[in-house]
Amino acid sequence: MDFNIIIGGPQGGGVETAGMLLIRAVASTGLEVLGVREYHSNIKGKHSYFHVRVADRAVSSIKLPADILGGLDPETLATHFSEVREGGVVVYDEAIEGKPLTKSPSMDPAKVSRLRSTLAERRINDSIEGLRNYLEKEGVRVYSLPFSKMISDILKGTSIPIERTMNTAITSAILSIMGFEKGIVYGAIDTLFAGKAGVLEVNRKVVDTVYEKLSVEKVRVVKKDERLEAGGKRGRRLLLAGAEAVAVGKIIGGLRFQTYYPITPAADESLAIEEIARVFDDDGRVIGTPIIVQTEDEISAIGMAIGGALTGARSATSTSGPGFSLMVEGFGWAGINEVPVVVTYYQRGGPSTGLPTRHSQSDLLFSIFAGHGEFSRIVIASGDHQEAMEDAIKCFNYAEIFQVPVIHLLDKGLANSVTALPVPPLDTAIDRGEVVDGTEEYKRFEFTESGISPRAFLGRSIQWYTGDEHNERGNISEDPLVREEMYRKRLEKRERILKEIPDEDKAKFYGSDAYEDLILTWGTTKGAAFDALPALNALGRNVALLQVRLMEPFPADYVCKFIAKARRVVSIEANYNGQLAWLISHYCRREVDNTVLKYNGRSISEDEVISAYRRVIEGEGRIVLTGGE
Amino acid sequence: MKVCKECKWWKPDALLIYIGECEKKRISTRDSEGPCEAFAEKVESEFMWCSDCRETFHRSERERHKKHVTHEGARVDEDAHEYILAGD
Repeated sequence: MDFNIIIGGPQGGGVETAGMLLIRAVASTGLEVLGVREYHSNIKGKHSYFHVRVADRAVSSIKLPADILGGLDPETLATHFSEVREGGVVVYDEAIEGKPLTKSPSMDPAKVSRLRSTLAERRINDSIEGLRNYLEKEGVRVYSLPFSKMISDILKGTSIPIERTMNTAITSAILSIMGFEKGIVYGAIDTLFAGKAGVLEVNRKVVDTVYEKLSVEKVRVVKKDERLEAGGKRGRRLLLAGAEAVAVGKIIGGLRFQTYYPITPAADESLAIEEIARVFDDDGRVIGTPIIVQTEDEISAIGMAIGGALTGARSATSTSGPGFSLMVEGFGWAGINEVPVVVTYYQRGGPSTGLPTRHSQSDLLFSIFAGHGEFSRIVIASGDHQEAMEDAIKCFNYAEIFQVPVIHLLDKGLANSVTALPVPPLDTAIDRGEVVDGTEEYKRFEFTESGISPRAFLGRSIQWYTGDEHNERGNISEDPLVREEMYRKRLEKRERILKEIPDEDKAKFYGSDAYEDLILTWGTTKGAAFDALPALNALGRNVALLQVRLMEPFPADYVCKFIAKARRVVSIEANYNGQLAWLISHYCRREVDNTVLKYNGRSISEDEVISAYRRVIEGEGRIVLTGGE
Repeated sequence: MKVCKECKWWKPDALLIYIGECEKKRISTRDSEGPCEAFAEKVESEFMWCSDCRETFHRSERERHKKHVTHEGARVDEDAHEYILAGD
């Protein structure tokens, strides 16, 4: 069972709530679910949508064609009608009938032009009725239901506006069409509207009315004997967006101090920490929350996080591309002073403000090379929600063990997508590295056999920190021998990092050892490649997947041996230049044979990987994906 | 047609423009409902709401909205900031 549902409408018009309602309801049955959000940066009015994939096995990407399209406005139908499969369902409120599909001046002119061309090519007149006729001829079932009329009747005598419950109506319709019992919708709305008795009661009535209406109409996508059930007991799970998964990981990992300047999509993480984190004393009493500071800018954010780390607090800052550009000077300061600070870096479309709310993996090389001079850093890229949570903990451990700044590299596709994760164990090992009390003789940058100077926290001994080169005590020194030795100490940590970080944090291999083709990927693009793997192997090639996770120091020895075995190497990533492919070329001395790239701001889907791979087999070297709205 | 969307008292939702609120009766309705006894012709005011462009405009900008659906105002969900994803 594998269902793909798109719910769309004007941003702020209930799409967000509808999507979350659907995800929560489905997840409560034990099925696997992934919800990917696409939204504009203008905040209100523009077309936004949730693509929700529901399956009885774990899924980590979206897939087209869609089985069901729910539209809150004409623009949604115009935008997504061509993505619905034959036999699929389109559902909308009958109140939008009579409206044109592409008239609204709030639509991007480029989009209007594109949609009008599509409509003209298919001989569809620019109206809901025209589209309906076309879809029905194509074998799509179209249901124009009187949602607002039904809601209007329910709301008589209340002050609740219709639009407040439109999302419940359309989600109820979709769940009913999928064959779910209405009890699961009750469960979801009870959670979403907890503490709002009046709203809850009205929403329950809306669910009842919609289910009754659809029961009369006998609308159902699945056959009666195909019950939608989970494959097994899943236990307790948390419904989390990627940024929230990182927040949970940081809390479990002992975060005590986080700074941020609001930026999409990173700010969600700090807001989640503020909301859910509590610090307990030894007797289990709440003594407060981790300290979260919204600073005046990103320069201050990294400066304060560095200060927090020097005092011994597990410290991090969270940002995306434009913010990290401002942090680079401070990041270098952390490098020369061997500060265990974590930067959680959510990539989005750049350069500059770029596409603030859209997906991108174009900052890989920036995260590896940012900063002047040379110093050791760790860059770890997570590929899914589970990894994002676990890596958030590991980043703190690695930062403190090796005393280097660490970048936890994520992307918008992961940050804003929602899934259900098992409740994580709370007894995760926290390794703070070598910590000493510090005495009068303490040397913060002492040369040691291990290459790591034992760390004492500020306030317990006299320590000197500057941005200048320094001796073992931290005093400024331009002596060439001190410089050479201190420089080497900082850079040679790379070898120790590569030796001690386990292989599963360097790269993950999926597939048969007897592979002919090797797909290389990283970040959330892993999800689409992983989900597509069975289909790719059915194309006649033996295909395996290598997800690179440790980007710096680059685990060349480990990664290159997989490359060496492959007859064909294909990289899939969401940027123009093929930044991972470039690293492979540099470190493994082998050019990637085919690159599959996407840089239009939308996540790569499973079906795109499959169709791209057919082109790979036909010999196309560079394939640019353009899917998504 | 003396339906809600032609009535002075009807304010469309700023986003889902086919539903709105009757200021006279204080009820939520669809744009095609009516006629009713409270119907009143729309009047031009200094500032108007354009449902097509989803923006408020001044009388001096009338020309730019002459073929658009306009109203004296719109209903805005004041709690929207609590649940809308923002981008900056």
